[in-house]
Amino acid sequence: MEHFVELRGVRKVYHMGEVEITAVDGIDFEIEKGEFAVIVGPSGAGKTTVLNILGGMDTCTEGEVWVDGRDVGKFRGKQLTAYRRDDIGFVFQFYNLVQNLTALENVELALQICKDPLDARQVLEEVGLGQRTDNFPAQLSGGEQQRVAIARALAKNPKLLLCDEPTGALDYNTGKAILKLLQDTCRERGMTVVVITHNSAIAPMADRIIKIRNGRVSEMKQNEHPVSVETIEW
Amino acid sequence: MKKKALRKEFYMEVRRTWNRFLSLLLITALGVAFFSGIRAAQPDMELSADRYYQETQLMDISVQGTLGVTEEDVESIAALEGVRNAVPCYSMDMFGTVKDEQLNLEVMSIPEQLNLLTLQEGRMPEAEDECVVDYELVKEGSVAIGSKVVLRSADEDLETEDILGVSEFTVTGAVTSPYYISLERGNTSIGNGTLNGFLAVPESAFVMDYYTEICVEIEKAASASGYSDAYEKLSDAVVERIEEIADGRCEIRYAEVQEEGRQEIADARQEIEDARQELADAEQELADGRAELADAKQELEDGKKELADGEAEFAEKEQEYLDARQQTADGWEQADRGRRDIISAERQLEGGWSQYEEGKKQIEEGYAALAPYEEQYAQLQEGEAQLQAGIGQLESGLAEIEAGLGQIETVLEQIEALEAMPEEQRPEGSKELIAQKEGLIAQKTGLEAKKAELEPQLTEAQTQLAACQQGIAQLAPVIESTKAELDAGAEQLAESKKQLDAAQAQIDEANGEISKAVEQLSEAEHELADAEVQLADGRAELEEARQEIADGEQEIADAEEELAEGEQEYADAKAEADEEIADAEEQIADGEQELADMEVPEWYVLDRQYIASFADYGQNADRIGAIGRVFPAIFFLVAALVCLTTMTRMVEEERTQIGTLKALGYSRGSIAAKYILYALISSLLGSLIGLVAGQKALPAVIMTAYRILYPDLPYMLTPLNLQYSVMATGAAVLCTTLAAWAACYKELFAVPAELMRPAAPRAGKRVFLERVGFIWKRLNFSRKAAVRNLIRYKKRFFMTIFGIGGCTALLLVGFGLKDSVSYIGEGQFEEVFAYDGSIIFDADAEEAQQEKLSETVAADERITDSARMLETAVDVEKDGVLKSAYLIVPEQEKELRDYVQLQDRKTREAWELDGEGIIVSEKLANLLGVSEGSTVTLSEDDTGHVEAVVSHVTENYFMHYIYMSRELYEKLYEKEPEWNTLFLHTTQTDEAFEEGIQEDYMGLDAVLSVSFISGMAKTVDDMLGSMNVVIAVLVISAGMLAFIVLYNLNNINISERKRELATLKVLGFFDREVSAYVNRENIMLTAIGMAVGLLLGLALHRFVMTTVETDTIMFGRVIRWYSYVFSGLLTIVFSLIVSGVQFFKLKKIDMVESLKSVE
Repeated sequence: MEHFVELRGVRKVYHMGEVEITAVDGIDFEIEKGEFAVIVGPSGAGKTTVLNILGGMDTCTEGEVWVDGRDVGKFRGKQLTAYRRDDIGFVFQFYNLVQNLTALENVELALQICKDPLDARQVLEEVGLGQRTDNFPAQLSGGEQQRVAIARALAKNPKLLLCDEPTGALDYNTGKAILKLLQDTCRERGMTVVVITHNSAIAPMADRIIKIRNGRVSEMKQNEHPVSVETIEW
Repeated sequence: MKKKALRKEFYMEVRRTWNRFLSLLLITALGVAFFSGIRAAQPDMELSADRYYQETQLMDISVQGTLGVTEEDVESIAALEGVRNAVPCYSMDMFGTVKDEQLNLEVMSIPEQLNLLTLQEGRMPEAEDECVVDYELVKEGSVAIGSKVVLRSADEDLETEDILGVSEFTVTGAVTSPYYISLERGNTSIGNGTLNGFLAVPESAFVMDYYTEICVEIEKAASASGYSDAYEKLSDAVVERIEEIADGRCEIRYAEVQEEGRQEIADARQEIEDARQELADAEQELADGRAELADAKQELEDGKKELADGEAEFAEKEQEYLDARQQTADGWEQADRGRRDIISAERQLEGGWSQYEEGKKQIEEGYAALAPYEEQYAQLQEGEAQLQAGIGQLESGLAEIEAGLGQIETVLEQIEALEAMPEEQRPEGSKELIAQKEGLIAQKTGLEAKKAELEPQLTEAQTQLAACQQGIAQLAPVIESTKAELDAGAEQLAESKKQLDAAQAQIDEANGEISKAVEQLSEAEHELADAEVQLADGRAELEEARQEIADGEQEIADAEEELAEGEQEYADAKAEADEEIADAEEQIADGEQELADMEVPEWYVLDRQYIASFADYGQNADRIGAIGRVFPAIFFLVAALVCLTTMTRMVEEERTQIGTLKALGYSRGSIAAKYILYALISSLLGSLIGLVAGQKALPAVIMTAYRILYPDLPYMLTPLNLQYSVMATGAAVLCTTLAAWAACYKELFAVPAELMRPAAPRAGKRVFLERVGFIWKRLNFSRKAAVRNLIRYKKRFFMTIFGIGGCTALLLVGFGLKDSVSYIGEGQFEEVFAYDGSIIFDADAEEAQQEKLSETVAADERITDSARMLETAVDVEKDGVLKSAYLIVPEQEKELRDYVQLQDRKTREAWELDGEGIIVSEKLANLLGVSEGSTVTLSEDDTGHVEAVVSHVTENYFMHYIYMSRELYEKLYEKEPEWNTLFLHTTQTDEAFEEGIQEDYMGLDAVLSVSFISGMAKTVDDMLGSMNVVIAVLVISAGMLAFIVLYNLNNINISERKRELATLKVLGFFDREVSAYVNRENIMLTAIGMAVGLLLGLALHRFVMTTVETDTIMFGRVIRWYSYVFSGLLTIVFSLIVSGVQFFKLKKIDMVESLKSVE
């Protein structure tokens, strides 16, 4: 496989009693290493399902999910956990920080289980929270919390950083700042970042844009000239 | 809830959260079951006993008088207000001997109206000498149905015959009495102080002139429990009423007994008088007898004299008779002689005659003989003539011969023929013819010879002629003389004939004389015969007289003997009678003294509390009640708290929905109704299940356990108890419902918008520990997180600690209870009682028998050593508290140490007996409230009260003991102790070995009983075995509680922190790491909970121990180390199980779902 990430014919069918719901119906796309990819689509299009499958949080019913030469789609149980643990960093819309741990501890929480972690404090500094390491999530603003979440994801030094609507719960400016952070991370660290959003306005900042509609990729294009976040308005 | 949608939503909620609903239901069920079940155990126990008591008409009050009670007493009690029935009865503690074993038995009359016996085996007595015995005695094998029991009075002042008409009874059946429902039969004042059982005989077997007891039944409601306060009040009132009349009745009884006594004394005096009179009469009789004997002797003497006279006369007469007889005999002899003379005379005469005849014959013959001679003579004359002729002839013949030879021959032949033929037969003619014939022949031949011979013939004829002539010469004189002689003889014959005729005449005369004499003799003979008859008669008479005299003598001898005997008898009787009279007089004196000393009797009015097994059972029920008040409360509290947490969590989870409903405009009531109803339905259902299950099962389990102690209680009633049902259900439902209401209260007053927003997550906080840098820094990251989490969820923290702590505490109490209970055996029978067995012997037995026992024990190889003790039951009193205990006085103070360990329980300091004070067992000291230096009063039945100072309190677990030195005993009681017990050390302790010893020693006369520590230990073990069930109930419920609490709290914990845990999973935590993250907290909680639980348990154990103990038992106060370990381990095991279940729950957490949105 020449691509860093490659999805081939991925299908996800949920069984709700006797009803079958096809959330993802044959997705094919690929992402190259170091790319900043944005997956856009309306609510219920199957973005999150794709991301969950890609991030090892969920399994696909059919198809192949190649990440760095391994078919993640075939992983089950422990393999999946190990995959999440070593290769994936997650950032959620609602941060999902452990409330009882300080910013630093939240990062350390992730580092505990990593093979080759970065220094927590340093990562926090890099995300701009050098002064707030000892604060509890409740003492941080939404943006700051999301930065902690990003720091937590980054500190694991993952191969793939997956962000599910990272700005969904943030105000415009903060959201922009977060996106900037993500873009910078991608650029500076060569990290492969995948961001899910329903906001197609963000698309221009991506290296690759994947549009999903009704469980299928409606369009995938490479952006030869991604723009900086600052220049984007929505 | 009128709104259909809401109703639907409620059903859905229940179905969706089925687990929660169920756990809520179960925890209420458990809480209610345990609470109401254990609580109901006490009333159920009481009810079961009460049913039996009602059925068997257990008396309510017993009235016993020190001088007995009478019919009049019964009547006066029956007339009292509140008394329904009063029945007199007999009851007496006696010794019963079955085979060789002596038992202390309560002998009672078979009750007809109250205290009814229940037949278990065999049949009721039909005859006066039949009895029924305690079923327990039959079960333990002491008495077999069909065997004989010999009863003996145990009271020195009371003879067995004065109590019972018969003393040997045949056992016809085994019965149970409501009086004794437990295994224990209580104490008695007889024997070794322990009652072995009871025995009931027909009332008619009793011959006492008073009753020993009146059984009273009071007017009470049929439903009133005998253990209730209401009953006690009723009973107390009647007791009081009876006590009011007691003094009066006692006075009357006193007077009666006094009168009776006096009467008896008078009677006794009369009897003595009578006895004396009798003696005098007897003496008189003897004197009369003697006089009579003398008369008889005199008479005999006279008789003898008469006899002597008679005999003399008889002898005379006999002599006469004999003489007469002699004379007669002589007569007869003479007659005989005469006759014989006559006969001989006759014979002589005959001889004479025969001589005469002979003579006659001779003469005749002589004549006859003479005839031939005459003839001869004639012949001779003829011959001569012839011869002369012949000579002439011859001469002629010669001449002739010469002339004629023939003629001479003829002639010669003729002569020859003549000579040849007999003279008389010589026929003249023939002869000559013949001779001629022949002579012719011979003459022819012989004539020549004869011619030669004629000469000699002639010479011969001449000689013949000469001879003939000579013959004639000779014959002629002879014939002449003979003829003369014959003639003379004939003359003589005539003469003798004459004489003979005269003799004949004489003989005839003599014959006549003799006949006459014979006639006379016959007459005499006749007379003699008569005389003989007379003599025989006389002899017979004499014989008779002699016999009479002999008889008379014999009679007199007999009479003398009789008299001697009579005198001996009289002497003996007199001696005896004198003694008896003396005794009687003494007794009379004593009786008089007694009467004088007699105190006015007292009545003991005893209610049911004085019935040992009734009170004992009540105490046990109370004890279970006490446990029921403590344990279930804890249990219930935990359950209620769990419910509260669960409901709070539920409301929290549905915050958004509440907001939505509010926003839609639903009233608070209808919104809250869902949660309240949810709580109400689950807790109500749970309660109903719990109260039925609990009240049916738990009391049954506990009562089954107590069956071992109370085997004779037939009922096991477990009705639903309204009070506890309502109480438990109410509390459970109220708790949960209020919790639900409280949980939604806050939410209901918040504005919808706020509710719609996710609840602000609880802020993280620094914990106190973080400020203690040196600890905090050492904790690794996960521990820090765990510690912070613990502190963050305070409710969970405390709930869990409380739950786990409660569980550990219950476990510890359970195990501790077992430790303490089992320590009785170990502590008492291994530590305190170092001896192996004891032999109780009769202190009153003869010296020799006791000696024999000592020797046997000393010689027995199975018994290593022994020591003599006095062991007796005493009552100990201090400030009105009275307890019975065993008093032990060792013969050698030093020896006691080898048999009984006297020491302080805590410090293990050993105590020594001294002459100053007594050593009291610990529980007794506690009950009496005495300590070192206190004074207590000791009383025995037969001795008075003595006061003794307590010098030490010693470790002891079973029964009460008081140890006293010999010196002190002698000082206090002013007498020597009567040794009655041997403490033994044996080489082995197995059952067969001990049975062997028991069998051998029971055979000795002095030995009353042989018992072994191992047997006592077993009894105690059995007795306390029932506690095991209670312990098992505790342990099992503790386990269930721990499990449910932990499970529920964990569930809540997980659901509350689902998001956090999902995050961890997303971050790549393996399942076990996620589990460890949560478990770390649980481990800490369990550890803390355990620590708290152990402390709580220790305190609870103390409390329970003192509550559960009976009077005679002191449980060990120590919980063994492994009980702590077990309690801890079990808690950990429960924790682990819950963690295991939790692991799968954690695994199931769906990351996608959990992180999708904020709830």
